[in-house]
Amino acid sequence: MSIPGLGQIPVQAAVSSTRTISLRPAWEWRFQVPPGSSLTLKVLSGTAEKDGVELPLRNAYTFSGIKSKILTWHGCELEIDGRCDNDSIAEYANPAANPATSHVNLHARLNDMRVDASRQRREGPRLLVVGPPSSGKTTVAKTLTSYATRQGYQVITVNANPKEGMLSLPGTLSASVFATVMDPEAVDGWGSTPTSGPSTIPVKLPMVFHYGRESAEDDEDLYRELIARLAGAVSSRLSEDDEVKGSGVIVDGIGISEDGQIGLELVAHIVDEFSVNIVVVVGSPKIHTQLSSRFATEKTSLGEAIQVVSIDKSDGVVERDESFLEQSREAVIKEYFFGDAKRTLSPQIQQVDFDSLVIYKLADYSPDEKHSLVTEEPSSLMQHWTFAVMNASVRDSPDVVRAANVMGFVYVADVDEDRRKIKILAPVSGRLGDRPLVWGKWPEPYINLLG
Amino acid sequence: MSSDGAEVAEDYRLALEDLSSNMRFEISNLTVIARENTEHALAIADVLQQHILKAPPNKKLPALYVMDSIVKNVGTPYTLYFGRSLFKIFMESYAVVDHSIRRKMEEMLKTWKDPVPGSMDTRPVFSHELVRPIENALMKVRAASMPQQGQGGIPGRPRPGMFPHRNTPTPPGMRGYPGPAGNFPPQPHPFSNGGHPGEPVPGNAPHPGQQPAPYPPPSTTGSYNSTPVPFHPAYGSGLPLPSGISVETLNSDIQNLIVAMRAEFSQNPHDGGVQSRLKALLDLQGVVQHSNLPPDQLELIKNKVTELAAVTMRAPLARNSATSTPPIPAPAAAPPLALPVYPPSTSVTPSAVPAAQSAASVTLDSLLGKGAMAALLSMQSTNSQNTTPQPPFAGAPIRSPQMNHIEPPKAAAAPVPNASSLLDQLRAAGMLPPATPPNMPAQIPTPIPPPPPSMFPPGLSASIASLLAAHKPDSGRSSANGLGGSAGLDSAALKLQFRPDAVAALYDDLGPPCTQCGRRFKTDEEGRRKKTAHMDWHFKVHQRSTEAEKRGTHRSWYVDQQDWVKAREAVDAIHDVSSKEESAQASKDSEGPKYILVPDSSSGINNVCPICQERFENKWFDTVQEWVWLDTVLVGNRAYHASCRAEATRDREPTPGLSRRTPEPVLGKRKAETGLTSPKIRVQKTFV
Repeated sequence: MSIPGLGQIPVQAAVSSTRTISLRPAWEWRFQVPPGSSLTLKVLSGTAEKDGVELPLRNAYTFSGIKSKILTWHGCELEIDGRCDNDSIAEYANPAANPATSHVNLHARLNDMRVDASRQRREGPRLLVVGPPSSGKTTVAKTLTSYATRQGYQVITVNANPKEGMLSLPGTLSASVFATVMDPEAVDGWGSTPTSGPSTIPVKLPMVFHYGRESAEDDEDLYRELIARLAGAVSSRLSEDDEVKGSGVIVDGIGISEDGQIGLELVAHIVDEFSVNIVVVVGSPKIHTQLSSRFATEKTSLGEAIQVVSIDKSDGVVERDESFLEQSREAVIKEYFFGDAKRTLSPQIQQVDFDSLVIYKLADYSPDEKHSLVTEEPSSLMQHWTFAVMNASVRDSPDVVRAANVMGFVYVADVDEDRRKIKILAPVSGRLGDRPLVWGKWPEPYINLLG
Repeated sequence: MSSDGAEVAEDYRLALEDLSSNMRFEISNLTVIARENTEHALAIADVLQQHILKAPPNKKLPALYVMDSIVKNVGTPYTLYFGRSLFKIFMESYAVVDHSIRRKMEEMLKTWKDPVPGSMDTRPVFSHELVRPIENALMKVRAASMPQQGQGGIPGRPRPGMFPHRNTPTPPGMRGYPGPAGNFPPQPHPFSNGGHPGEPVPGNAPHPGQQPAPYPPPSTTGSYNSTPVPFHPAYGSGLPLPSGISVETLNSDIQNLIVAMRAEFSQNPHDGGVQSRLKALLDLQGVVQHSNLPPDQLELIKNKVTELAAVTMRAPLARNSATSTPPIPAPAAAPPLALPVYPPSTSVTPSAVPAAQSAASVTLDSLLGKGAMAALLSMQSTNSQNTTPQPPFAGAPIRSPQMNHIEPPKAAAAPVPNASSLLDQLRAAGMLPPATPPNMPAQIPTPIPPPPPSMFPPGLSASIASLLAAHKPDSGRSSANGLGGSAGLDSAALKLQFRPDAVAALYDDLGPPCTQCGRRFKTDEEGRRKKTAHMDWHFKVHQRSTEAEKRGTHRSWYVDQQDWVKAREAVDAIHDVSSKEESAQASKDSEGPKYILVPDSSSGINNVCPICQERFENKWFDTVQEWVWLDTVLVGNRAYHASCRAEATRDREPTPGLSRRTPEPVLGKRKAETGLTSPKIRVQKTFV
């Protein structure tokens, strides 16, 4: 890397024995663990954090299928066991040279606002993170969320990017209050949701909407509608929950390209709906300029000015290729039904008649289409897809169904068209009752969960 | 004369209340009474002290003169009694009186540092460690008020510095009391601000000639420094009278301190406080020598050094005074401990970040003017890592030393909210180059109204008042508020500054981490309570995990919007068993659904209702954040559906209330289940 003050020292490639890594303050250890293999990490001394989540000393953490980094502010010693594809130590001459410094500074500023907001019983800062794809937006959002929880705040974090789920499956938009420590090992990077058993890391309670497409621009109308629904729920929670109110909102926004006009309009929509007063642009001075001029004269619904700040993309951000992302999504779906290494879940397989299910399909986008949902007879095409179980009734109109909350997901294991039977994997036993299912367009099935 | 102490005190109080002018006769008279009643010295001192504190501003000076006269003419034990709360007496009075009286008070203070004229005793009236905190505080007050004065063009308040350090003080008790404006007319100070209104101040080079204008005249520090300090042979002597702060003198001052500290260190090699102070000094010396600091910062460092000298010399002095004033509880040479926190400010923000440093340094004064007391008190209350130094004298004088200790870390850590305004004022007064990042415009839109105590009216008395202001409960937060400081939401500021305080806020400030999950808990009472609850929670989770593995767990459905909006994160309450049981009990007693917490499988409690043979269903009950069996009662070690049992026992145990409440028992059970559709309760699991 040619960034001044930074030396990239390749440590060792693909080793599997236990080794120790020493980091000086503000240095990072960057690592990539391929899906399928795992790496165990212990902090021997000092302090270390992963995406803002502090790793206590001598606790073994296992990572699999991630590309991430361990950052230390005080220096640390790490013990690594396991294979990683690629790892390196990022050295910085001084802490200010590490872009992570701006995350801490930003957090400190947000905290000031939270202190003031709590005192005056106002809404805390509402922040939106945007930037080009693969610029580290989610890492920034995650870090800021974790920092806030560490200092006792209860922020609402919103995932507005359907490409990756937050506490839910890809293709969804969700919001959750983060009040407790986050799980550095979580498969989706955020944490896990309630199960019938205890959890060593406190679970998070998300509210989920089903979008069913990869990009916000694929079905703009639905995206805008769901964002509005999400924002409505978030603002209700803000106004009713005093703890949350002063802590504010962090929105992990969509990736936008530097020249795409549609992306900017959707960002403006999110800003509008969530009354965002701080827009953080990661790694794109150009988008920063565009948004600055765009929001220069606008005010939030609370009458505040909208500030647009730019922070640098970390040079440690790596492109995740499509197959890696695909495997990440697969891991998230698996985790939803079967749990992870720490907690095994037992989903239920049930066989139901075609007639007992109402399945909607997301219609292809067309301007004259009246409904975006159409009913669909079960077919073998549905095999290996995950359907969203909507918190609505089959008697509700498609418009109500598509904007309803998601209760959960079922996986279509097998469709027997002759006998009109469909075999589904559900997280919870018992009949689905009159809950309609929605078949999205994305993510496409890559795996046979039961195979 | 009189035998009853209370009576004497009462008489004395009445006499004091009549005292409204600096009449020499009256003051002498009161002094004589005090001398003749030394057996009631405590009562008299107490009365006088109370009188000084309570008297209206125009009566304070005469009362203070009475005290002055007594300590000079009678001495022990009054000196001791007043010494205990000298700081309080002096500063609280100083805060409310006007300028001319302040000047007189400063005069009087000065005489306290010298022996009583004509006396054989060579000791000062009050020991230096009693006087010095007051001087320091006055210096802070002066420095803090400077920007306002500079801006407003108010003629400089006359300062003690205008009177050269006199070897022949005029003790009011001895030579007649100076009249209000007679002996010391308020002559305009040669270096007052009015004299140099438009003088340009160079940006960063130390310039001896400049300092006198905006800052307290150097003669203040000069006379201050020349107070007899055992380890300071060269101290002060090298200061030309009108000089500003030169790097050389500062250096030599620091060097002297280092020498003194080394001496102390050699005596107490195991004393960590001394060690780290020594380290701090060495760091400071490095900064002074190697970085080109603007004069105002040098001035601040100078002040710090002076304070450090005070603190450093305190221990030996205390030892000296112990011999002279026997009844005082041994002034255990407790080293002030907070100084070790100073190094971060100097070592972490070296010349590389001049802007940050200047911002931090400037706030030293503003802090002392306002937040220091609160910060100090909050530090005390939270009992954080800085153990407050043990006061050599149990009384008010400790305050100032403590302030000094607290101040450096605070200043380093937190440019307070009003730092920007202070900076602005400094800049307006031409004292600061516009060196700070241009983030002010960015900051203005951010609504960060400074907390009440930081309202910093440009009055001197206000700053003193806030210096003395009682600690407010939210001051801890307001100091936390300082974390943001002048760094606005400006991209450049976010990137360029590294703020150790912001990192510390995420680590050490939060207390030690939980070894299992890394969550940090403070070490105060509340933190310990939370930690205990937290560890209980970890224990319970472990216990239940094994159990859950046996029966198998599954993912729950997500909540719907209504539940989500109503849900509340209960970070600690979840783990608090007793409150859970209480609330369970409470809702059992009320009209709420009957339920019991899902029992451990090892408890031997049946999971099938013995009456209807239906299995109890595990439900997640939001209000108690627990898995429960609804409509269930526990009788002995057996669980029943409440409605089944009510029906079954209705005939045998005629409990009218119960039967009336469940007139149709079977349906009653159903009713409880239909109640599940209420937002508070939702079905999470059905065992099959």
